[in-house]
Amino acid sequence: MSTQAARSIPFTHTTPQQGFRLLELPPELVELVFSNEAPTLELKSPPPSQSQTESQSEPDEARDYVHLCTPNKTYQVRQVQSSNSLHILRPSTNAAIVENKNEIDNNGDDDMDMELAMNTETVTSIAKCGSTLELYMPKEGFSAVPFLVKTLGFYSGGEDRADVDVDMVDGDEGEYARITMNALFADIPVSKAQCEQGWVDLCAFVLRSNAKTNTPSANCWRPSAKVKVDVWKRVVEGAVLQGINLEKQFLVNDLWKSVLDDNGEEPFPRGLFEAVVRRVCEDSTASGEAMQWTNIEKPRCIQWIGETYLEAKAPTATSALGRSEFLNAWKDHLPESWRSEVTFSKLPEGSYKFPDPTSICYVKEGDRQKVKKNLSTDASAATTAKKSRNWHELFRNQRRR
Amino acid sequence: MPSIPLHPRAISPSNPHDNPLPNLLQTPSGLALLELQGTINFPSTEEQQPDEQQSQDQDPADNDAAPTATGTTYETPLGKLMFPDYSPQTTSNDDTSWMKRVYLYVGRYQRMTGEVKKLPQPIAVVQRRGETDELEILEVVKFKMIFKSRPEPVNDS
Repeated sequence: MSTQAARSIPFTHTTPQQGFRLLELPPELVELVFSNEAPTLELKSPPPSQSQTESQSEPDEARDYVHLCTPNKTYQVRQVQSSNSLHILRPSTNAAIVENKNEIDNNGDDDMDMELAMNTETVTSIAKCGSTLELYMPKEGFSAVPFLVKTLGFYSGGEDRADVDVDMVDGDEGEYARITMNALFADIPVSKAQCEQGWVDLCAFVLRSNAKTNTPSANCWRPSAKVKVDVWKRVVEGAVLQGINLEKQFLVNDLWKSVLDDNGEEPFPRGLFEAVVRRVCEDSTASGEAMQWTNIEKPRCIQWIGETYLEAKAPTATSALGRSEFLNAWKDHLPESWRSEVTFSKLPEGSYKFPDPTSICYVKEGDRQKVKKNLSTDASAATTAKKSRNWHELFRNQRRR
Repeated sequence: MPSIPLHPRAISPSNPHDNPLPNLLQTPSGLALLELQGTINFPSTEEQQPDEQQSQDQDPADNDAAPTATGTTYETPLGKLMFPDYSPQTTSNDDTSWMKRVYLYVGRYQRMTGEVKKLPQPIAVVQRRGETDELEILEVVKFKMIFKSRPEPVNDS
């Protein structure tokens, strides 16, 4: 028998057992973990207000969910129970067993009395896991936008100005913004890169408010569509006045000066101005640093201002705008040479609808999803029904006819 | 705390003893995975009893007490592992036929037959970093031994 020749490895169980969690790694994460400068990953759960068990550090203790974040990707962590037990083994010297041997003998359990004392190479089970953690990334990925929308203060300009104190004397404004943003992002359960992307997409900005609280969200704002449009309009006018070509490289500081009032007063906070410029410029990163040189990315800008203007002026079907009126207004918010490029097809897919033959209105982000889903479910219903062995689905279509 | 860092490397990698397992199952830290359909019931001594109960009754997540003072750590012999078709001298690295058969003896008279399998996705063994709230990946394991058949009675020759 071949077993005679093979070496047998004594197998033991260590008490007390250690605590481990087993985490399945998708290929791209394996690569990341084994890379030379492997980044620190983060386990993020929703802000503490939502989970009651904030004192528990173990990730799966959180009531809602946990996301595993690499610097730029977000995975959902799922705990998968198994009826099998997974033991974690480790080589060991059997020193600990020898001490314990008498005790076992005393039990009269000589089954266990094997050739352990002679063999030094043993494996021992140091932990048992009944579940593993799996990582899952939905097809559409995760976006920070919904979380940011919930967290950020809503900035609608004008009336809010009274209780927002612009404190521009500090030289470390950029530093402050960065710290505030990082504190805010720590509570957003998606990766940092996705947080920054969402931050830029929303034109969010940091502005110290009078409220002397430590919560980062008290000083972070997302402007309303109208505010964004107004700021941009002013930027375009300023650029024309000062002869700044937005398509070419320009100093952001020059552009800022061009939007100031005659007596040097700020029409809106600089953070807001930079957020709007960042939204439409090339290589937009939300570092919190003051911007230096940049240039506006034309297609991105045309699309953004069209969508934002529509959101500001015609948020619902009841307030729909005339189509030609909208197109003209859209053109008016662009530098002269870009006017010819404006068409409805430049708007993001699903972001608008025509409630009647002459008008156009905005479709909110949340409603777009619904429209898309309805379409796809209708189309795929037939195919899934064919494949399905579920009778309800199989015969649903026939019943309709 | 909403954000918990998970470090890709252990701060103090454990130094394994000589690893008696086949090369394929060896990892830098020496950790290996063994999957068992069912559980192992230990010959329980008085002091072991409470531990045992706890680990079975509670949620696995609560069972993460770091090993207490090393003096109290002890090992209970369970049986032995055997790779009947593997020999460190003659089995070449690209020969995988030995993986089809692994024996796990429980005690002297019961034997389970299992195999060595490549994991569909590598599994990271995650532990708490010291006494902190931070986590670290201790090891990434790519293979496991799996025993899914019933134990069969054998003669202790």
